[in-house]
This record gives sequence, C-alpha cells and structure tokens, in this order.
Amino acid sequence: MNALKKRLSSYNLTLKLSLSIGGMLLALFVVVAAIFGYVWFTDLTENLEHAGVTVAEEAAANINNVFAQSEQAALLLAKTLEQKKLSREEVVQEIEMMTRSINKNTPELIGVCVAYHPYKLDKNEKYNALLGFIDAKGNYRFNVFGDDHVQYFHRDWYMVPVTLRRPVWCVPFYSEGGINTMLLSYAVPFYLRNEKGEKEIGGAVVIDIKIDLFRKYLENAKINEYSKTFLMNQFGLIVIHPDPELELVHSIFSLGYENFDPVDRYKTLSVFRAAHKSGVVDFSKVPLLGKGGSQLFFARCLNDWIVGISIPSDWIVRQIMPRFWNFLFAWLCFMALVEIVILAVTRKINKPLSTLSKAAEAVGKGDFNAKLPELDTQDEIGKLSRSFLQMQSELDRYVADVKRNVAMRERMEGELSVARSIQNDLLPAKLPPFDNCPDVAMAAKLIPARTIGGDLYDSFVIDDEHLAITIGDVSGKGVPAALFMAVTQTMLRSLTVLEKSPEKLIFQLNNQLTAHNDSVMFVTYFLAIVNFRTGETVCTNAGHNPVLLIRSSSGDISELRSVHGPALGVVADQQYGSSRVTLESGDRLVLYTDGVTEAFNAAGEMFGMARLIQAAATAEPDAAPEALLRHILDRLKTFVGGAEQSDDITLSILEFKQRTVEQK
Amino acid sequence: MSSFLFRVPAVFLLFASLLLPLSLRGAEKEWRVSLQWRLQSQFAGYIMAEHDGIYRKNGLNVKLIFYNTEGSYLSDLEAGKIDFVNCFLAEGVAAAAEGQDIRHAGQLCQSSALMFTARKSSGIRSMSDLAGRRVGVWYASPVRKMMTRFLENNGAVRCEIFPVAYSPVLFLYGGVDAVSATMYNEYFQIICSGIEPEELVNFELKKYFPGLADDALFARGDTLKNHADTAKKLVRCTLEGWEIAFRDKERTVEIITGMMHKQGLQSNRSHERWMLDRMEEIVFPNGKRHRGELGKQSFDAAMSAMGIRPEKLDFAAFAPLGAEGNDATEAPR
Repeated sequence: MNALKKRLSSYNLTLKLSLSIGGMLLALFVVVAAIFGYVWFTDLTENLEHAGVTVAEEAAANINNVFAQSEQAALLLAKTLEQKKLSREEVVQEIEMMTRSINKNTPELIGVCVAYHPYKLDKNEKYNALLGFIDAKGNYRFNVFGDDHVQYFHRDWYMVPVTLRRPVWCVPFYSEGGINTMLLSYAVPFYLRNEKGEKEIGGAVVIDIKIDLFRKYLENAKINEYSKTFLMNQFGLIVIHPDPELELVHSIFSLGYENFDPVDRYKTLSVFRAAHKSGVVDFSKVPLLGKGGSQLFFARCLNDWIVGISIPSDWIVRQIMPRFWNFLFAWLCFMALVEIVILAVTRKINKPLSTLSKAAEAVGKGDFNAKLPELDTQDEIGKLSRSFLQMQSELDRYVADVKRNVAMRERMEGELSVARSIQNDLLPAKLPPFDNCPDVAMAAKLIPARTIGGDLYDSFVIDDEHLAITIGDVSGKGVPAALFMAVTQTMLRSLTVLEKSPEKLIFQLNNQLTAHNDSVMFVTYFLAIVNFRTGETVCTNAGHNPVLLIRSSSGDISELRSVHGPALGVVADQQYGSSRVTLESGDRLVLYTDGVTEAFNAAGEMFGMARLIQAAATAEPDAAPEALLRHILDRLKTFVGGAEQSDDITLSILEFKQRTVEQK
Repeated sequence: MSSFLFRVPAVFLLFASLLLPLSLRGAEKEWRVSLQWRLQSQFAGYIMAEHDGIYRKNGLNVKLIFYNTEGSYLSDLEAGKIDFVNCFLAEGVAAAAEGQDIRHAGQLCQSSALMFTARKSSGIRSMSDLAGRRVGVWYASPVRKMMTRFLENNGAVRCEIFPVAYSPVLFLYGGVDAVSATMYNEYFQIICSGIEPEELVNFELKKYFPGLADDALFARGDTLKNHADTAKKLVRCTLEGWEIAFRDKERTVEIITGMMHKQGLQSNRSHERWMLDRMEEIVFPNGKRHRGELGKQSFDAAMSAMGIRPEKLDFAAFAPLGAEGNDATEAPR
C-alpha cells in the first residue's frame, strides 16, 4: 500500500487528475450500469412467465381443436360401425363421407381408416384395412392395404388401441398405406357381435392427421426471437421442432442423454407426469433446450401432448448486452471528452507551474535573477506567481544584506586579528624581560576567551635591581577590554619611569584610568616590585585575586590575601597600600586571573582556589616556572574537559632563584 | 516397316499391362455378407472394417447387405444369394439343427444383450412375478421361441405371451406388463420415453443361460470347406473393425449416422452411441479380446435356450472353424 502511495505521489498533475477523475467516472459507470441493468432486467422479465405460459396455452388450444375433432370423428364412426352391420361398400361410403367432411372443416385431418381384425369384415379375408384420404392435390383417394408383408395387426396404431381396449393417440408413424407421410393418428377400437351375439373386437377406426400441418400453430407461438416452440408426445418424443432433424428421431430424454443433469431430468419427467395443464420450469441445462440454463413454458394438450416454449436463460443477457455496449460506448466517449478537457486545463495550469518550478530550481542554485512568469490572473496560480516574485525579491535583498554583513564581519575579524596581534605585542616578548638573569625565572600564559581578551600580564625591568611583575583583569570582554588593558599596561610602564613605589604607581594609574573612563570600565590589578638581588618584594593588590606564594623550603603555599584597594578605574584619588614579602631562593609567586579559579566544567563545578593550590602543590617541588605553569594549566584543562571557556585565563609565575645579600 | 512392326506389339503390351489389374479385380470374388437389421451401430464392426479398408487390405472384396428381421437371409444363404450371414447364434443353431446347410464361421459377440424388462410399479420384481402377466414377445423374431422358452422355464408360469412389434410402444402404453428387448435397442427407447432406469427391473437371458452369445457369422458348409481362409480372414477383419469402432466411438457414430443419413434413414446419435457402448460389452465382455472362437458353453447355452436336444447337432460339425480350440482366425496375411 505504501509502495502504491509512493508510486502515485510520483505521478504528475495531469496523470493524477486523469486517474482520479477517470476512476470516479468508471465507478459511476458501474453504479449507473447496475441501475440500468436492473431496470432493463425487470422490464424484460416482467410478465414473461405469464406471457410464456399464455402463448403455450394458446397454441395448445389451437392444436386441441384438431385433436377434439379427430376424437369426435373417430368415436362417431366407431359407434356407427358398432350400431349398424355395414357391408363393405357401406363402410367405404362412410369412410369417404367422413374423410371429406372432416377435411373440409379441419384441413389437418386427411385420412380415415377402418382396419378390421382378421376375418371380421369378410371371413375369407384376413386383411382388410380400408383407407380413405385426401392427397397432396386435394383429391379424395381410397386404398385397401394389408398382406403378409404389411401385417397391420402388429402395427402400433392398431395393436395398442385393440390391446388396451380403449382409444389412444398413437405414436407418430410413417404411413405406408398410400398417404406416405408422417402421421399422427387417433385410434378407437370398435366391437362387433359374432354369430352368438357376443361382443368381440372388430377392429380399429383411425383418424389420420398430417403432422406437418401443426407446424403453423407453433410457428406463431413465440415469445421473442430467442424462444423455440416445439411439440412433444406424451413420451417426450419430439414431434415438431424448429430443427427438423430432431423430429420423430429424438425425445427430450435421448438428446444428449449422457449430458443430462439429474435435477433437470427429474424436472423434465415432472412436466410429463404432473397433473397441471401448464407451467414454467427452470433448467440449469437440458440438451434439447440449449447449452446453458433455460426456462420452459409448457401447456398440455388434451391428449397429454406437450406444447413447449423454451427460452435460454441468457436471452436477457442477449437483449441487454447490445444496450449495455451502446451505453458503454457512449460513456467511454464521454470519458474521453472529459480526459481531453482535463488535459487542456492541466496543461494551462502546468505551464506556469513548470516555469515556476524551473525558476525555483535556478533560485535554489543561486540565480536570483531567474525569470519568473508574470501572470495577471487572480486565481491561485496568479497569486502563487506573485508570491514567488515577491519571495525572489526579498531573497535577493536578504542575500545582499547577508553579503554586506559577512563583509563587515570579515572586516571586523580582520581588525580583531590585528588588534590581537597588537595586544600580543604588548605582552612581554620574553620572560624574564632581561637577559642573563640567573636570579629570576618566569613563565606566563594568557589564553583569551575570544579573539582578544581583557586580561593582561607584564614584566619589565624598572632598574638594575628591580623587576615589576603585573597581572590584571579588565572588566568585560572583547575589544573594549583589550583596549583598556592596553591603556593600563602602557600607562603603568610610563609611570614607572618616575615612580618606583607600587602603592604610588597604583594610585597614579588609578587616577589616569578613572579620568578618561566614559565607558566605566575597571581593571583588577596586582603589581609586585621584586628586588631580584635580595628577593624583597613589595606588592599592591587593587581588587585582584590573591597571589599564591610557594615557599620552596617548606613547600607551603600561601595566599597573599591583602587587598590594598579597589579595582582601578572606578574611583579617583583612591589611596592604596602595599605589602612586603621576602622571597627566598626557590620561592615562587603564582599570579593568576579569575579565569583560572572561576573556570567551570560541564557539570557546572568551579575549578576554585583549592584546586589551584592543589595543582600548585602537586607539581614537582623544584619545577621550573614553565613546568609549573604547564602543570597547572594541564590540571585546569583536565578539570574543564570540553566545557566552553567563558573568561580569559592568565597565569604568570615568577621564581626567585637566589638571594644575594650585600654585606654592608 | 520394321519400326511399324515393332510399335504395334509395344502398344498392345502397354494396353494389356494397364488393363490387366482391372481384369484381375473384376475376377476378384465379391463376398456378400448380410446383416440381419438395418444399418446401425449394432454392426459397427463390419461397417468400420469396410469403411477403413480393412477387408480390402486383406484381399477381401466384401459387400454388406442390410436386411431387416423379416427378411429371409438364412434362406438366401442356402440359396446362394449371399455368402455369409450375421445373426444370433441361437438362430443359426436352430437352423442347423433343422437340417439347413448353415455352419458357424466365427463368434463375434461373446455375450448376449437379450432381456425382458418390466416396471417395478406393476409389482414385478422377479421372474416368478411374471406368472399370469401379459408379456410382450417379438412376434417376428427368429429367437421368439428362445424368448418364450426362457419365460416358461424360469418361473414366469402361465404368463400370457403377447406378440408385439419391435418397438416397445405397447409396453409404454401399459398394454403389456413386460416386454422383450435388447439392452442396446429397445431398452434405450424405453428409458428415453420418460421412464427412469430405477423404475425398471431387467431379466437378462445371459444370467439364466450362462455363456449365451448373440451375433455370429455363418456360412454354408461348402463355403467354409472351400474358402476357410476367407472365412477366417473375414472374422479377423471384422473383429479388427470392432476394435477400430470402439477405439474412437465418436468417429464411429459420426460415420454411421452419416451413412444412415445418406440412405434416408433417421438417425439418433445418442441411440447410436448407446448402442455402440452396449455392443462393446457383448463383443468384448470385460474388455477381453478374442479371435471369434465359439465356446462349448455358448453352444450349449444356445442349444438349451432353443430347446434343442444335444444329439440333434454336433458342436464340431456345426463350427468347423469357429469352435474353441480350432484357432478360428489363424490365417496368413
């Protein structure tokens, strides 16, 4: 099902529309055809049963007239023969009179025969069958037949009535007595009295009917072009049928004997054995009636012969099919017309859609100037086209803006890169900042959070004995902080030309920064002046993190907690103090910014002072500043993991290597 | 001159060579074989053997002559008007026992289809139920005597033997309580006249005369003596004709009904097919093939059925070719 849906979704609009409308029309056709079929079926089958039985009964009634007259004539003549002892000549006269009379009234009755039992007409003559008939030309003829070759006593038309002692309608036979045609006969036995006055069989009176003459009654008895009307005797022998080859050769039972359906055979038997005079029987298959199913309307004649009208069950289909084909043809023409209209309409819709589609593809590839169709229609296609035009225009503007912004950003990044470079240049190129100083070892690292940062560190020589080391953290980030940092760095250096005291230097630096600080930035700052000869160190902390002092001799790590004043750039004329500490050989000062202690990992934990101290403590006791720096940074990196750096990280480590004391 | 003398004999010889086969054919004897009834599937073996050229292939020039039962084919045989006769074994036995020069050439049917049939609704379920009833027997049949004796000897005591024609019409009308019939002919007419087989009770003669057989081929004694090979060939070819007939029954029926149509005879294909099926049951009972030999049991059954004392007719003399053990159809091709 999903595969089908996928396949259908891949079809174009024309095909989808054609399939859906075509499918709908086809479904509608089925419904309409079913309705029409039902109406036609009802119309055709209505009254068929009544009509079929009525027609059969009418034909039977017509045939019955002939039968009735035959019976009357035969019975009359038999009675005459019984009542009067007639001579041969008188019998011949009676025969002629009756023959002419019955034939005049009923042309089908063509012969009268009086067949005497052996020696009954003449005791010297065994055979005496006296026959009068009307020949094909309408002339009366008379014949006497019977001899050792034609022993009529054994013929059915004689033997049956004489044996049964009652009138019978005989099985049709071919007359050899001069008529020379297929006859149907009604035979009545008659009795004569012998010399003793006893009644004994005298012979049989036979009225002959030409079977062919019944044909006209059946030819007029039709229901429709598909029906077949036929006549059977009481034993099912086909007497008259539209197919002459079946007549008097087959019975309804013998034709296709081996193919007879058992149920149908039972129904056929019931037609002959039932008492009702007419009816309808449905057959699934009776070889006589047709290959498929059929209906039989029948009516019984007075001699138990059957007039049958068969109609194949598919006659309705044969009637309806031409109408159905016409209807189907008309519907198909209609569907074809609809499909043509669909094709024309969808082509009109598809053309601008196709152009839009190609233009969208071109736009997607970057050609914002791809030509779009300009439609002035107010329908959905027109609206879509105008929307697309607007989208193209907006997209064009947007792309231009993006390009401008990208250019600007690239420009800014370029400038930032330059600024970083300049900033890096402000940092000490080498540590310690002078050559050939075995007394001090230094290492420092600044890792900005962005392209450029607001942290700073510095180290420079003040005079032959003093070294300044600084670290600071400017508020904010980015270029403003970097500029402020650069200003701070530069100012301090220029101030140390005239002043050596840290607290005075910081005081002056603060005033300078505060004076031109419209942006209200500030910097936490730590300045230490180290006598690299003696290890004497004076430091001032302006709001910065406490510096760590690592004593080499004991390994103790302490914090120089004294804060001598607020961060720089906030309040002018702020007085700052200072602290003194004497460095022993191997002692180290660890200067850092809060980017170290306030570094967070992914779990939200802060590195903190304790970890910093622990990192410093776990380094090699005699590790050089460079190694100690790397160790602390490694521990920090491990702690932070993959978390984003949120602040500049700065570390500066000074190791005082020896103490040279001048003996005064 | 010399060329003329040469051409004349050459032309003479040429014509002679062309005419010689014709003259030889003209000299070929035509064997007239009578069948006791009209053209129908009862004689399909002969018809197909003739139609498919089996006789010709074996050097026999056969002419089939269809009689009806009122014909005097046995008399015509004795008179030399016909050479071979196909008729009931019992008929031939009776004629031979009466002194007619008729000898058995081959037993084509190894079983019998003769029977009586009655409606169960008339209360007849066994032969004894026929006692005192009216039973129709063919008045003109040569086996009338056998049919009558059959009734008398098997419990139908004091039944009225009523002569009837060959059609079962009187039975259909209820004029007789039972009627003689053959399984392949009258019985089919009855069940195709609105009577179901289940409504009938049949009394088959072969069940009361084991070994009773119907159609056989007969000839005069001198014919069998002087033309034994011809007779054997005729039997063998006719049996081959039966084989052909049964092998493709639709074709056989098609051919026979076509021939009937040409002769102006009415044909019923269903009847002919039925007849052919029943003939197969008596020509080759249980599908067993044979060579036309006459079994002693069949001979005795026919004698008994016709009421002929054994001493009246010698088996071997009666069937010099067709007797069992005589290798009836052994003839070089």
